Amino acid sequence: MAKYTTEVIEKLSELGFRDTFGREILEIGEMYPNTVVLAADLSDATRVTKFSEKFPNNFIQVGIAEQNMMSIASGLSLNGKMCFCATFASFATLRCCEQVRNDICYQNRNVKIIGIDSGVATGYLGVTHYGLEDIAVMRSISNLTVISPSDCLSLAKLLWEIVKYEGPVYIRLSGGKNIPIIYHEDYEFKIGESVALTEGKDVSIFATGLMVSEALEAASILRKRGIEVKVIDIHTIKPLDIKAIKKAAEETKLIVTVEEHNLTGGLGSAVAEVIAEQGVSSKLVRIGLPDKFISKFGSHKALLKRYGLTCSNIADKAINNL
Amino acid sequence: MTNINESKIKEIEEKARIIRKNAICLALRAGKRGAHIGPALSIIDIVTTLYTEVLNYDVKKPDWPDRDRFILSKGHGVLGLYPVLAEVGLLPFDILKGFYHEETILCGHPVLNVEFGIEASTGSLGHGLSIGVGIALSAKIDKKDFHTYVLVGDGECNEGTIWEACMAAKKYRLDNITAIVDHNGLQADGFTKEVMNMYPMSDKWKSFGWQVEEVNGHDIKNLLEVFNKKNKTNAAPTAIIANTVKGKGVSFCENNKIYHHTRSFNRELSILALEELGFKKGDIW
Repeated sequence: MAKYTTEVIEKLSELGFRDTFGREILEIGEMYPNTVVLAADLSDATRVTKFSEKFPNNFIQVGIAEQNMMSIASGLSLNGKMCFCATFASFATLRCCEQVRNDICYQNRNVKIIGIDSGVATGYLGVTHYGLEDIAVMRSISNLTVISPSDCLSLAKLLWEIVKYEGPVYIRLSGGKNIPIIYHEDYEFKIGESVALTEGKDVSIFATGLMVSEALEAASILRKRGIEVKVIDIHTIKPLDIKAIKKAAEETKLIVTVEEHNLTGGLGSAVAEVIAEQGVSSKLVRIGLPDKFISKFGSHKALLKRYGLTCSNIADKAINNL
Repeated sequence: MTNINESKIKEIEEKARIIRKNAICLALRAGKRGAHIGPALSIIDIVTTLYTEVLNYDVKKPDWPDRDRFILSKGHGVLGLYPVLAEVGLLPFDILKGFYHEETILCGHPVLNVEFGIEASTGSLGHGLSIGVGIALSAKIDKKDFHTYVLVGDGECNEGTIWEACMAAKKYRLDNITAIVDHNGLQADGFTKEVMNMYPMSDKWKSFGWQVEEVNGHDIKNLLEVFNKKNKTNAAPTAIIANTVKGKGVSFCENNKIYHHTRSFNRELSILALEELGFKKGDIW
């Protein structure tokens, strides 16, 4: 594993999530000879073409057949392979949901599923390509670890964590390049352990994926108005960091969740479950994509803005609910 | 594989007879909770032949990495698998007899358990062949010689994923996988010709580049001959279209769709079935 200097971190962030995955998987293939990468006609999009050239015997191209990809990965892993299946988040989680559940998770296989361009990252491509329900679906499948990195360093580092773990994992990625940097220095991430990025006594914001960056900016806006905000990076949706949520609910009177996902069943729902069950009282405000299919399309950034997935809206919501 | 001789055929036939009896006992055990007896009776000759004479495995070391693999993709045919595994010594009889008792580990569809000879969890149709392709690919990557057999139903071939697996197996020249189609012509809703006509089944597999053999799935000699032929060198996967009778061996179950999944297997019916198979009512357990 290369050292993650500030220079490397900046480079990765410039390239974006897809290329970060493409870069790390080459090294993972080097380090773990049992790595097999599978593609369903999206090897360029998922940046595994270089892997396929470097390790042709450990690369399986199944064509446009995501269900087959998942089941084949299950079979490969039954004989000791560590498989990576990469495709768009929507296809990886809905198209082949049953294969993921029965063949990978039920049989507890060592298969890592990479869902690129989740949320509304595909913008003008439309709803068929949005990953709106993947957190809800994947967090309800037993045995599955669900990861949602906030920046490229966290993706790279978490990739190296999941390869140490023999079992099924889903990594939810957003799209685009020039990803805002959350971690400017190398950081040792642990699966299931959230990261408190700021401390504050008034509001706790739990965010995941790209929304962590917006949450941090919201915190600066709020700080200028005298409101102290704790921002927590939920890079692991499952297993969820229950302790951190309970602590936040005890220490701050308002909890805000932010996610680029349907409000139903996502991070906000998961946090609500914890708060309700732990018997701690704290007001909860959930920010996410509305539970309806959009009919007017736009760029990723424009869609995030339209649905209030921005620092200013997060700050406004916090102020209005305090 | 040993040479085919009459005594070997007789031995397998006798084993299959006992296994049918035990499948009936399991159906009786399930009783009103329901059992897929028809789809089990159609595969018992095939599965018995495989485990007796074809598959290379070690009962004392079930996780031996070089063992041949068998996947029952039509997982609802599990009453045609558990008694076979018990008969050959992979599955302890006391566990078999715990079938459908509270907290049994043996449910109505196979659950991955290498110790007891179950290589994959199946039940939802159209998954097992792809899993088998993955196993066969891993054998190619590791340069291992073991063979993977996957038994699919003819109704199961309605599932599009079967054909996704077919494409991949041909593309990767998997001469180390054999799909056996239990071609009994009946599925849950009726005759396959009426529900979703897949005839001619052989042509479909051939058109995907598989080498295809047709066989009488209840003729042990015929099955052994075809399994013997498996290793051709044209780098293609093999499909064996096994013409079978759903419910085979028990006259009132044969070609009768109500025995695809039945809740009516009571003691009287079980005794009738056992007597047809040449057993006495005291042989019921």
